[in-house]
Amino acid sequence: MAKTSKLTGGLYVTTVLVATVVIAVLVNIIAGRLFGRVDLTEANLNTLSQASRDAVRGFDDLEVTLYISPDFPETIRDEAGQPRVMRDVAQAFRDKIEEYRSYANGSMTVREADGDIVEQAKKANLRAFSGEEATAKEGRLEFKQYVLGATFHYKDAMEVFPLGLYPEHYEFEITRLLTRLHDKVEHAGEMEDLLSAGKALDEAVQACDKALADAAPSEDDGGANPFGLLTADVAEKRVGAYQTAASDIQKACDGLTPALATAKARQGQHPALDSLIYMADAFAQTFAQFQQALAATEAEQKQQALQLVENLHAIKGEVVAEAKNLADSPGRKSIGFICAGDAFCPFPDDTPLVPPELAPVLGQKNPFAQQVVQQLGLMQDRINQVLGGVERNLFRRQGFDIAKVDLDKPVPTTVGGLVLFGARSALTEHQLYQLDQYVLGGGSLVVFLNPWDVRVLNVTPKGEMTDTGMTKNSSNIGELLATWGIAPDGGLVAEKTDHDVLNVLSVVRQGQLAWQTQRQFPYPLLPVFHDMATESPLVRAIASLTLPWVEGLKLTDAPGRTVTPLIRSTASALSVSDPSFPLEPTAQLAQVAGATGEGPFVVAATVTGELPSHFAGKDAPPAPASEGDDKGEAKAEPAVKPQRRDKGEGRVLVIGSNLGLEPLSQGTIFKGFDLAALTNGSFEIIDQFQQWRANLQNWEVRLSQIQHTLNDNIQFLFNALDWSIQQEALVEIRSKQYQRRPLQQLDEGQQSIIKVAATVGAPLLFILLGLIGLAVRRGRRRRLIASMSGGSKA
Amino acid sequence: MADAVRNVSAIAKRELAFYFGSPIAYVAVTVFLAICGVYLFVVYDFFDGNQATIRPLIEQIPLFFILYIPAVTMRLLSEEKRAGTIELLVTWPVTDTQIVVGKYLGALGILAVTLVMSLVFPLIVGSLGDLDGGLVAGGYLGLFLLGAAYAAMGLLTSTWTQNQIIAFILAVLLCTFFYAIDTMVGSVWESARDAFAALSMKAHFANIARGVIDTRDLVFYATFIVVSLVAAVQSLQTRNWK
Repeated sequence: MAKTSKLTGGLYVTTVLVATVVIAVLVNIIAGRLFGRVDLTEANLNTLSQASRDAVRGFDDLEVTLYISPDFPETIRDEAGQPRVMRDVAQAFRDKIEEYRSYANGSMTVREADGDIVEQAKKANLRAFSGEEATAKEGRLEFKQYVLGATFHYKDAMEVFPLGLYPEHYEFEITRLLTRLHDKVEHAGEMEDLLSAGKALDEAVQACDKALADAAPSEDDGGANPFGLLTADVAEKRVGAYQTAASDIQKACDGLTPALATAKARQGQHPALDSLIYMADAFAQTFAQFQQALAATEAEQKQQALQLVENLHAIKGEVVAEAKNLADSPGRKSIGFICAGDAFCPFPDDTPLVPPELAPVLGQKNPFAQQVVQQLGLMQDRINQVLGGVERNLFRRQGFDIAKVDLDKPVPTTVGGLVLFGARSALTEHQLYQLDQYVLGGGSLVVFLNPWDVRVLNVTPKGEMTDTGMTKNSSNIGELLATWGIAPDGGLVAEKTDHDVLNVLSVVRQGQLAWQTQRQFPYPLLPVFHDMATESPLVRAIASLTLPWVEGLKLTDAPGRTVTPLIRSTASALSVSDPSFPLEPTAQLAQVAGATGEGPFVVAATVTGELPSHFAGKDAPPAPASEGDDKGEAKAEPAVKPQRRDKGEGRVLVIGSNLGLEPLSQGTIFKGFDLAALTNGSFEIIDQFQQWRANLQNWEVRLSQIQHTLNDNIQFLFNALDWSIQQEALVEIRSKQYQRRPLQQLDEGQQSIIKVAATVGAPLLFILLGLIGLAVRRGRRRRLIASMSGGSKA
Repeated sequence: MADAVRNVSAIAKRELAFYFGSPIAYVAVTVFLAICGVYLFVVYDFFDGNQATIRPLIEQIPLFFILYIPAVTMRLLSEEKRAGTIELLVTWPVTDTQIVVGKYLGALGILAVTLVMSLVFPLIVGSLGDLDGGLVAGGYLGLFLLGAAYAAMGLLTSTWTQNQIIAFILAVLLCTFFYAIDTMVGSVWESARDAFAALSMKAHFANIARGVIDTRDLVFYATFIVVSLVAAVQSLQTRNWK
């Protein structure tokens, strides 16, 4: 072969390599612009679902602004303090938005914010998060902040994706926001005058507040001292500034009164507008007080004006929040929680059991009463804290807009679906009638049953953990459900083998020492279900579910309606309706083991289609007397409505369990509370108080017994809530992101066999194949040699 | 053209015959399978996760490949150079390109056999639960592409030296560099990380491993392999320089 010189060869090689690399880069750039994707996963986990594609196609000019910190951190600490790798998260967010854009048929534009992104994002109501990088500033550590989110703009409306740290949730969140944005714009016309009245009021308050802020900016006088107090000089200077600018302030605030009047003319038409009016009214009244204080001659009153300005700034913040709430309200459907029949009602109730002004008087009559009132206040705080936490964390932070529904009044039109969660006692006939008519009017109802009060090991009023037994609750919702083809059968489902464990608090004694510990016991009354209706998005992605204290359902089909069983027990399950059924874990296991299976039982089902009225052929029950009736001011009107329906299209979902969320409310804890008994000086109040305290402790004990089952159940609860407001599309997307693929349950011996087979067996198998190959080759060679030597002999 | 195909195929078969005619392939594949099994069932503790998935293993194999593939490719041309058989090879009517492609296909054969043998893990997991077949298919395609890119780099380094160990070490360094280039560059030059992510094997593998076949990733691997093989051909031709 001809040799080339190093120079020529080097030049040639360099040219070829550079050309190849350039071509490769160009090909990659072109491929980056013209790309295609195929999702191989069975549930199309990485592809936008049809619902998401439809959602983005519903806009004619959607603008998206991305807020992504350029120097995204490598890792952050999550809520549990664990490091979370963030490397590809920003790219995943961009990719997901890009995917939506590709389905938007050119009607979606995406731009990325630049400049001070964190500051801009905060202004757009995005949430910043801290990385692990920190700098020392004025003696304290300041963690660097980052943002990852987007705003979606359509016409005059906007939705915010505040923080996108979890790629697996992107599709659910973005589609939810797009659906919401579309609804908001579509329904804005229906309440145009309310929105413009609200906007005018908001602008009037902001203009007034700005005039106040501009009149005496806090930075001009050095501001407050480190304790937040103003020195006399500074205070005087500020008051002087307000007095000088009084006419400008008055001019800026002139718009407040007419805007308030216009809004008040529409009061009662929308709860969000009412809240805004309430806050704006408070602003107007405070402003009037401020003007009076400023005009006063006494120095003390003038000082008061400064405090009133602080109040005005704070109220303005509330007004802005309420105005935003109103602007967001068109088309918003909330989920109504029925607060009746001792059902779970996740709303704090701030009304004190004992009016504060009465407490000192009670103390004079009965020295114990004052202590009891104090303790009741603490218990009330605890209940409100729990309920507030549930409302905020379990529902609102997950994007559910929930509302308290009083069935004695008409169901508000903003309620998209009703939930009756674990009612323990009976609803009134009128409440049942309201529910009946709501469903027949096309509404959705989700019912979580709570058939039995199961006391595995409850605390007695004396503080002993000896109260045990089961009692049937007196809820009558089953009568209504039976009319629609889903009748609770009255028994609790017990699974012989497929059951969860119960956490039991027990006291361990060793010599003089005694301590409390939690022990777990297999418990048939906590059945685990695997048989889910795969055609229903409500349960198809849930591999297994533990439904504590669950009641079986008897389903009846009828022409025009579709009854669908969602979850079934095994055939070996039992139905327990004997109050003497053993609750002690070992005894329960023994009893269940010897019994014959009676299953399968359906424990969750839906019914849709034409449903008959439970009150067909009967007189409509009268509405309860309103407060005015007590005073003899008005007579109760019968609840016979002209639009009364004897049948109608509705949808109902029934779950035979309360998912382990025992109802908590002041009504259930302070059962039998009577203010009069407290005031009459009776010492029986002590016994009653002990009972109430035990009620609260028992709620906590019961929750701790089955708390471990809640995680999977909450997923199911969210699906049910989405179903209630007819957002099955979101249920589908949620189901997709939470696909679980559990393994067969194997004992440790079987697991060890598989481990050995995989780690040793697979390599040995390959060696065996090699040895067989070797033997074959040797045999072939031997035969070849033999034939050759035989041939040569011949 | 037909001659070229015949030549390439002859060289590839010769390579495969060498590997499987000696204990090399059996030892390598056996060790690889044992490591995978230990990782999935002991280190990762598969049963504790209670999920019918082999994604943790698929995400780990690229790291195992950083040692495995260079071990397979280190002798491809360096051994020929050391033994002088490269000169014998070029006396055949074959071009340098055909030699490189033939050798490369031989290495891909080993890679394919390795991956086929490792299918035993998805089979075991599939027998224990509902395994997502699409995810496995995507994962294996990703592993094949990644392994092919490593093999191209391994082949390239084996053209640089007569010493197999040096070829192995260089290939390991090169594979590691291109696997985590974004992380490595990002740790010293934060703002350049995103730019270098486009060259990162790991970033492109992540998409495929979650079951998404994206043409951008396929093009990346294809161009990476082509550039490496062109470089290998050019490197081989340097022996003709005066």
